[in-house]
Amino acid sequence: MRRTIIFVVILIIATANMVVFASGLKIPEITVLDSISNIYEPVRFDHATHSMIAERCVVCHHEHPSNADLCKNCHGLDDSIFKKSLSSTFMNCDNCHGKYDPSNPGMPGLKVAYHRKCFQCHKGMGMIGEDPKGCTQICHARKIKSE
Amino acid sequence: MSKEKKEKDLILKEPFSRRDFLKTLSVATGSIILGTSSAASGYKEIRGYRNSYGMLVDLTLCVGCRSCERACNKVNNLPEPDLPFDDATVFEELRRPTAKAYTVVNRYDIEGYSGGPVYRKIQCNHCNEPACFSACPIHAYTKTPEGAVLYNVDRCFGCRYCMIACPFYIPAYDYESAFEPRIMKCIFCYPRIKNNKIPACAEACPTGTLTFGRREDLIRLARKRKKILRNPSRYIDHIYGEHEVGGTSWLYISGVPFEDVGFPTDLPEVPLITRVKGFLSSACGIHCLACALRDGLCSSKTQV
Repeated sequence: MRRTIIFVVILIIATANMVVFASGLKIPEITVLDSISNIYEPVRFDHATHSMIAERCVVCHHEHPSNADLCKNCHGLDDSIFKKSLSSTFMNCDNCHGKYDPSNPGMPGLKVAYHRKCFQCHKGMGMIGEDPKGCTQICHARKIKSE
Repeated sequence: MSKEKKEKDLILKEPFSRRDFLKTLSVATGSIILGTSSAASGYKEIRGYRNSYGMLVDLTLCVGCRSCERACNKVNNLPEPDLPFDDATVFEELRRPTAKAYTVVNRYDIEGYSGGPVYRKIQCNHCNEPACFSACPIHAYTKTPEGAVLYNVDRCFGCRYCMIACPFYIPAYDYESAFEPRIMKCIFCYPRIKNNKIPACAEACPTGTLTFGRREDLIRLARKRKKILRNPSRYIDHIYGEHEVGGTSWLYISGVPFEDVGFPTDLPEVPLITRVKGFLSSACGIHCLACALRDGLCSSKTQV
């Protein structure tokens, strides 16, 4: 009887671990970034390749729980958003980086948050930082008659 | 009174008596001495408004995409530029804001700087105590509580003193308009700010080079940003515009010395008007003195 209980407990733990492990691997492969698609063609962001290159999720997902405290300290997140961030492993960038609010200049808007992450590596690649056309050649083409 | 006496009085009566001359001289001298204090000058000091807005420009983040130039052009209904906004050849020469472009981005290749080419956006810095405002003889300029320095074309009579007074060489004159020539410069997107929007250039900037907010918050952010990065080698320890010419609404932080990217670094930390305030306030006295001397000399000549 005692052995059976131990076996069942081990089985439950193993199954739970497998589920967590499996969900951990389940990362998006292609993400379409289209928040400013009225101006630019949507960006097809190859998430799989980028996560392989970056190796650690926290390189981009700075709200990762290990950095949560730092995030809260610096950006002064309000409690409701902060709780939401703890309930899921990775939250959407626009949970915090939505529309820029001048009363909180330390919190970049979504567009700036994306670009800062991109420029961590991409500044200096191709013509980015050298020629205004560089951005549209690598990531997103400007829509004709967008304005 | 005899006729003879009357004639004698007339001869002795000088057009400008010695007594009058001394009186005027003492008044003039007194006003020059007193005039050096701002209280006596009657000049109203503007030390910037509390809670006014500002813009923090982080030169280390700009990649020269010229989105700000494009947005400015569109919002202000300026004419299409000769070269498109994604043309990099404009960086071959250093540009200045013109009547057709309120803001321009220049590129500087700094030897030994690891951050790549440095881009500097130029536009009106919206001084707390603007020299253009002080120089304008008919008050065509206004410093709004929001921070913007505005210009009223209906008042302007085209003397262009503001162009000479500006330490940043910003106001541009629309020479091409024959019927309504006017000064053209950045207005800090004042109508947008009044409608709770942020200036078009800051909205367009993808890199976060331009951060719009309350000036006091931005100064704190600039210091904090340096601190957070824990990388003092990234920024030089100066916020340009915090004190220059009494402070400007636009503030800059940079990874290279400001003089290397075209900022005038020989400016005083007091508004330019304070340099000439004493003279200006005594100008009236000097004028009286000059008149007194002239009249005195003239009258002595007539006596001879």
